[in-house]
Amino acid sequence: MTHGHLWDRLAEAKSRLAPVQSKYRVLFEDPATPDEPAKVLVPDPNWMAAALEGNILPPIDTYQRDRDVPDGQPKEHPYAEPIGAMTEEEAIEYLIMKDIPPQVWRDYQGNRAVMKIVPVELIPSDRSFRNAWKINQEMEMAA
Amino acid sequence: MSTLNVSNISDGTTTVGTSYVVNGSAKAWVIHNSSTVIKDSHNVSSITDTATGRTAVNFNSSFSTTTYAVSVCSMRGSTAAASQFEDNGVSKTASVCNSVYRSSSALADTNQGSVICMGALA
Repeated sequence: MTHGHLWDRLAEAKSRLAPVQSKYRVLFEDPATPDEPAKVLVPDPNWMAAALEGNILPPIDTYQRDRDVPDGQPKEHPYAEPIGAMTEEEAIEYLIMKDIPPQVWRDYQGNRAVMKIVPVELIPSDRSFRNAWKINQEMEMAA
Repeated sequence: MSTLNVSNISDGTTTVGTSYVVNGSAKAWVIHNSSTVIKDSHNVSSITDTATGRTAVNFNSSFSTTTYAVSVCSMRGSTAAASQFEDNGVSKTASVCNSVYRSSSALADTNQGSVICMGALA
């Protein structure tokens, strides 16, 4: 049986799966734009439901190969065979590789921490100084 | 999943080609608040809160080109805030759409923002 287009699978999944609000957010700073504030990645609840269900989302490497495909040329990820179910932690890792620039999670070699996965409660609710947000560099050491 | 192959759809009085339905539907949309909670969406994998009044929408299934149409609107408090899509040539790719919310010309967080994108998917 054909697995069809990714958009069709997402539409079908949305009709039967309850959304899942993730308890995590991904804080990151882009080394390419050091003057900009820290950014906050928010997983989509419908996407998270699809990731936990399995057989809907394509392999992450198809997105990575499609980054180099010029506009208007056929892309691989909409038609790739879907992968199985992920845990929430695996889904967050997938999302980091899909939606955060590689210079943050793959290429950065500096000493500053430029990315952290944090519980949603740690994101400040006071946005008065939103444009000054930076990632706290204090690290908790494992015993 | 089953597929229905039809050229036209009719209600008994009016008939339209299925291409009108396919091409006329929003291929990606999202509604969110300023503290980055996504209320509902379709074909969106995540949003990124990048700064005050700035939100990037990441698509699941990307568009074929950057020439897709975007509609952005927002509410701030009890009044409608002016909203503007930042179309400066670098803020939209086939897989990411950056929306900007303004109030009295200054960037401002929105209590409720929505982004609707229409065009051809890859």
